[in-house]
Amino acid sequence: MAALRSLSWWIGVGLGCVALYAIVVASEWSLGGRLFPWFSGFLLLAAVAGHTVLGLARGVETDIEPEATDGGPVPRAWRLKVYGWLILLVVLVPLLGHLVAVPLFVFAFMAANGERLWLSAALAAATLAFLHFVLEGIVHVDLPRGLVTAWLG
Amino acid sequence: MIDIGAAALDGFLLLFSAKALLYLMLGIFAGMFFGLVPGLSGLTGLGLLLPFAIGQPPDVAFAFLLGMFAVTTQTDTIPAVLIGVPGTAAANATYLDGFPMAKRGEAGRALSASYFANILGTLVSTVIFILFLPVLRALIDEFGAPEYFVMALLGLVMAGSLAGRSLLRGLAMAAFGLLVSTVGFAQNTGFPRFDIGGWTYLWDGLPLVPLVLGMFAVPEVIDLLLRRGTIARASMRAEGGVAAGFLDNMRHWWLLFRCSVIGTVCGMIPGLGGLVAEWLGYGHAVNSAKDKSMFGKGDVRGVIAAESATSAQKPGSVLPTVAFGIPGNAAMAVMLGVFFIVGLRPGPEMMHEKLDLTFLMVWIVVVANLIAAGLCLGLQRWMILICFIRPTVLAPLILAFMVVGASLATTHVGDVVVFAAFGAFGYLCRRADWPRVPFIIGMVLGQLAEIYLFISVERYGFAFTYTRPIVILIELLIFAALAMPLYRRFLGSPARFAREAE
Repeated sequence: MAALRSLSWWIGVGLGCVALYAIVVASEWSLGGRLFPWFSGFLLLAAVAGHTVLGLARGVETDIEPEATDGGPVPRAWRLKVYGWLILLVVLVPLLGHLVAVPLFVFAFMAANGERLWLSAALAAATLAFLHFVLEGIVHVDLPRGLVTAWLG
Repeated sequence: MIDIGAAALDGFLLLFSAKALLYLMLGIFAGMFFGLVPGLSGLTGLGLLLPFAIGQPPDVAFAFLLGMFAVTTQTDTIPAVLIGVPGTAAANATYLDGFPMAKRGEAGRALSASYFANILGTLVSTVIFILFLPVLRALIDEFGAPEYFVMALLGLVMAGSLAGRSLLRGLAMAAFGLLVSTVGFAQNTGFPRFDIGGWTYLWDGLPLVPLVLGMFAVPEVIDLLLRRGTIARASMRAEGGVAAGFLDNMRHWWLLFRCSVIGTVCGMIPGLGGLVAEWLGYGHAVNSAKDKSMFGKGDVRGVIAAESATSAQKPGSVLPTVAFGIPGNAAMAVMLGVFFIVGLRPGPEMMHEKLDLTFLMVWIVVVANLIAAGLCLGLQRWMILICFIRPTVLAPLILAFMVVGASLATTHVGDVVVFAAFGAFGYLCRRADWPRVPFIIGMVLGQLAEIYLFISVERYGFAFTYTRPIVILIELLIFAALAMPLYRRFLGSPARFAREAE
């Protein structure tokens, strides 16, 4: 069953589950409320059912692997590191707020990945200046403060 | 025709307010950057700039976003020709002949030919746009809610069947986009839907900005990071050749015209976009040439054909977006989202009362291309240096601005959650070759389609599907759009293989 090892096939299965959930939840609503969710839910279900069955019967094309600059495969360790940095960013922002988390991320990422410290610090400072002076000062955007920042007052 | 002329003039004048011009220039510079850096694209830029356009009047928002998007296909040629790496996927065919020309010492000529082909392609497309307008205006007056609903379905089916390699995946993504558009208060009942246990953040629906950023920008930046090293190793020199490039376009004007028509048609058909336009234009140039020997080895006709087709699809994609609310490509889907945000509705209003805004969109593409061509001719030798910036410097900055941009939608922490969730989903889709364009088209079209479906059912019952002639005609087109990929798969391909084998 090559399909079971394919990310593409599993995306189809996942979308099928979403469609089923939507159809079941929408069944409790009035006709006006459920008409369109049902329409799109059944359409989605039909398409992914076809994809899933055909995938089992005929196989699914192999997934596209990212390539390094030299055209070779990306080392697994580097890949995990990149994913880790991204997760760190989306976790840091709700916790610390944009004003702290974003410049901190820019500095930490660059410094940890071999960039010179002065360059990392300069770009982090420029990011902080943009957020504080341009977005908050001039455009008057009220950036979320973050859970820890709010807790600290 | 008189009101069309007056609207065209009004639209042109709208562009020359100080604020619109300022935003246009900012958009152009941003677009030049996003076109230049291999791995980024106009869609990444559109997602990043979208939050800054929200809250602006329509003319300013359009100048900023469309100005940015229009010029990415100008600058993506520079790395394709000078370092052999296309700036965006839409410059792949240009690379085939542009890079060999550069190796022969004709980089300046190749780039100049590409800039002028872009300008002329856009102009041809604009003329076609103006010629089509009276026909569309007459047609659109015959449309009611049922016609708009099936037209939206046609757009979705075409986007689903043409955007990727698999019909089922394309349709599934389009349907998923429709489903996602139903999150939040139902427009007809005022009842909150899919709010995951009463999470009030979802009551206004999923915001477009973090969703577009997640789906389109995050996967590009992850790939940029995963590549690790700088893309550029060494650059060719691009000096002179400006006049030669222009004369090449004049010499091959008929080819340029034909490829511009191909590009315009590709722009009008949902799901095709710049990549397909470029390869169809290039393929047409090769097939129609008497002497094919130099294609792929540095034939300027390859550059002209690819670039004129790519640039012509942009004005072409404006037409179905404003007339029927069917975006020709993902960028136009995002622009359609901007329509709703700034309080505009595609359809008769954009074809009559707000025709000046419709023209404004086309003029923005034309003027942005003209300005960008001038800037590229003067600055290309320095612009190429951007390609040498290491991803470890570029990517964290882009990520930082993406996460900030995502939060500008509602400044609620939920924006970051939506950004992260759809970023992960977009990346998985990219890895697994699930097309993302039908999803975004479905999500934006869903808002319109639901209203039209509800009105149609309330007014006519389900009988609207078989009692109205235009609806039936569009339904036949939907079946044709569904059948075409199946025909290609089961009948077309063997026939083609048999021919090729002979």
